[in-house]
Amino acid sequence: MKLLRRMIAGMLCLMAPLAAQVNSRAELIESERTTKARYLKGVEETRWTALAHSGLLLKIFDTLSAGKDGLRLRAGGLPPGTGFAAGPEYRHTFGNEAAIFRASARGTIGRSYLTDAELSLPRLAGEHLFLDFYAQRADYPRLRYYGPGPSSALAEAANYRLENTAFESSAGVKPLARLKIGVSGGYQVYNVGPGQSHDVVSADRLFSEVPGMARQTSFVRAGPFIQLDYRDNTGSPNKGGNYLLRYFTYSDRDLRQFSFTRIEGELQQYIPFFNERRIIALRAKSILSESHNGQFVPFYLQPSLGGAYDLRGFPAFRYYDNNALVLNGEYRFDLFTGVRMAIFADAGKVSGRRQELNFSGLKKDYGFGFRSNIGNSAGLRLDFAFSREGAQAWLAFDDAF
Amino acid sequence: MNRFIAFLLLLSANSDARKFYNDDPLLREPKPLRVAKVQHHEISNMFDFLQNTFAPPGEKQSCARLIQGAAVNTLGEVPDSAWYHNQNTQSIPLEEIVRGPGNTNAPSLDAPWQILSAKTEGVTPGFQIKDAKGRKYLIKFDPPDNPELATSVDVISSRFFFAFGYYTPENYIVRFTRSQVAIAPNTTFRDPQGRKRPMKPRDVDDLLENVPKDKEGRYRAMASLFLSGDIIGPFRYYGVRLDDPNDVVPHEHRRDLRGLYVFAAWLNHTDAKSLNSLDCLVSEGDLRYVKHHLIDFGASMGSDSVETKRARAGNEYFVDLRPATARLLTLGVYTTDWERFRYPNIPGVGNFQAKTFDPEKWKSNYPNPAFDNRLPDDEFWAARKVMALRDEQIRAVVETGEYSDPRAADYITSVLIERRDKIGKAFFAKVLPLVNFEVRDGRLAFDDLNVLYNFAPARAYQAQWSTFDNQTELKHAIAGGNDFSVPPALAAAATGRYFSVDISASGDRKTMTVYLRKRGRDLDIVGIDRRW
Repeated sequence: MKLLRRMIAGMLCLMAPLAAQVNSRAELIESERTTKARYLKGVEETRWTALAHSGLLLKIFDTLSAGKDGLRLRAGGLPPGTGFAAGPEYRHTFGNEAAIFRASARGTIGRSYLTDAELSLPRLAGEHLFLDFYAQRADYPRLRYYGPGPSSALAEAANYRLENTAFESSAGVKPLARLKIGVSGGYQVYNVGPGQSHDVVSADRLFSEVPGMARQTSFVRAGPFIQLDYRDNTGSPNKGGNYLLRYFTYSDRDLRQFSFTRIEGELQQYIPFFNERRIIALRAKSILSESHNGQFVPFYLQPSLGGAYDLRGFPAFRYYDNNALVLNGEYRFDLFTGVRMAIFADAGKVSGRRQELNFSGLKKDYGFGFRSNIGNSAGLRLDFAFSREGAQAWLAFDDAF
Repeated sequence: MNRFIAFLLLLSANSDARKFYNDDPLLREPKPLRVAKVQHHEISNMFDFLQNTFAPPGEKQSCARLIQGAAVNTLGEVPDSAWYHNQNTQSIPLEEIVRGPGNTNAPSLDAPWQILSAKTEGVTPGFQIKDAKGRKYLIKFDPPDNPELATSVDVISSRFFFAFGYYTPENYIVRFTRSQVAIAPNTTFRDPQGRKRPMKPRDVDDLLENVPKDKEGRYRAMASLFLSGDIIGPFRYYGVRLDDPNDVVPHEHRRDLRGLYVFAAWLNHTDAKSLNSLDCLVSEGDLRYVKHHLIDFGASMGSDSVETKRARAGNEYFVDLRPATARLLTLGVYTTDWERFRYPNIPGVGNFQAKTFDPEKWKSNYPNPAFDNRLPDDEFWAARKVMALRDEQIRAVVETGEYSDPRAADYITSVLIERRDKIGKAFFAKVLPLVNFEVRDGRLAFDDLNVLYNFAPARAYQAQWSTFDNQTELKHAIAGGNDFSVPPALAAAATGRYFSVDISASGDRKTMTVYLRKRGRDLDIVGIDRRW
């Protein structure tokens, strides 16, 4: 009402000058300006408009995304199948990225959680040396297990609890900007317990003989690695390649039953065409494990296939065994800025013996998905995949590779 | 609020309706009213994008009623104002077009520049500095992998936009060594992690670490002289400033802003948005008024300021549902010619080309209310100015970018010439492109731009002379007045009488009307209406 009164009063007082004749275009323009001038209150925009333009949205976006120092929301990062994880993350950078500290705590409503902290010194000796420290504590009370080998049955789904405490470090040289050669190692403590899921039986009831199910131990692991990474960006690459070869020796410190060596190799290639509007992304990854004399690879350290990052048409952790091979191909294209679509196919297998790791009997799936990629970093990923074991949908916060 | 003001202005405008006043066509708007108080406002980049993409503001064209371009005189030209200054682009001498908004205020190298603040967001850093003469500049750099990319286009485009009539800052290419920059006392700095703290020399080293250097080891940068007056924030491409009495035409209907589409398309200035404009409260004697500027042209031509332009830029909005749907439904098989285009590998040029450029389909990064409201006569107004630029003028302005690679200047010049011609062809075809009307030797004479620029062969036009009632806007055909000769009856007409000539071409539904006013023995051209 107050506003209405003010408007009416304003109109009445304006009527007199409005009735006056104008005799030129210049007078007409001046009269329009004078009319407006009489009404002005020196206010340019409403409070809502000012609020909308205040940068609040940007601050929220910054809080939700990686980038700047301080406290922010971190989503994802837990093993596939554990549910939607989120939690606070704190990041602090020293100097001109001479040292970066990061710590986070993420959890799911299914009571899985991960707390971790990391200190990276990526630019030592003029960026020719690097050093990283990493520590984590995790508890996943409902990880799926279907038994060992490529013939495990979907119907024998079980679950177990995995607790893990790890201290890791890596150091090395960068003889070239894109080439890293180094060693990494650490101390890891694992505890396996009965699964907490009400949907499936606990794994210790079905697979009590599986190595690692009954007795727990800790490991020291160490080994060299070499990585050539010439992707244009690591978050959501459009071109380039990333080749990694890593060797680890796992030494069982408590039971002396589960020592083994592992070789991991991964090749990623991103082939753009049509001005980087289309990308063929390819990955081949293999993990080979060899137990030491008469010892075993505990099931929870065996490579697994199935889930959002490898065989997407299969449930998470669908196949476990000592060796694994997975091949992925994606055809990616931008729907519009920030949203990319992908059509993909995956194939892979696990095997108990290295000699059995070949291209026959591969488990296959195919699917499509959508990814948000703002700037050069991956955001949300939603994949739908299909295999002979049914359909799967995956929500993740990074690219599959 | 905006609507209420519009309503009042409508009342005001209707109080004395007539088509022409004695001072038409107005070449310069009257002196602005003194502005007492204006509010500084910010525009959020993200909110601006979201609003324009998903809930476009401003009054829009409708099929029922076309809203003609406003802030124009009766000839359809934009008069001089706080938004715009007329220049005849064709006749600008080379040295003048090269000078642009000014070329005598480059930052002094007599003493170290004092850094007042620094920008660390994004890939490329930036400084605000004060030189030995106390003048302030914004210093911007090139992306690490593309020396000369962004600095050149910022300098070149500011000159072109100034030549077209917009107010732009003075931009300079500068080269300096590390010793040329010092930190002013009390300068604070927000580091890459967002912490605010006093700036240290090490911070300057870090900021300059990725800046490309020339062969002599000097940093190359673009120095933009601060605009004069008090900065009060960007203008919007819709509505009016509520606190500025002189701002009475909704921005989405201003011809100078609608026509900006054509200039932006020519220069591939895909970042033509509110945030790249700036209003300043300037003083001229006792007069204080709001002057409107375009700023920041680093995302024009093949540059996207911090990197080379992506192929999408200029062809699709950030969020463009129609092509997105086509790609979705065809699983990415649907491709366009601009996606398949192979750009030359010239680092200082980036991704800029003319081959697949379609002036009518060009797009800024996200919808712009003024661009979306443009009509063929808005486009024609701007296209005329682009076409008026001669090859040697374009070449001369491109050379102000100071490319070290001669291929860069050659390539950009040739692309701009090709894009210019495409603009002329596209927009001259949408109206009758007849200009330069005058009564000469007893006939109404004019130029056909399609013929002038060899876009089309000469063709015959029909004319119908009429008397014109300035109050009622009724026309009465003059017997025998059906060619371009001035009908004999007009000789006896009194001063102040109005006449019109309807012009058409056979087989073309586009028409136009030229209005003339008797002055003594002469007939003055006072108005032009184009229909399509």
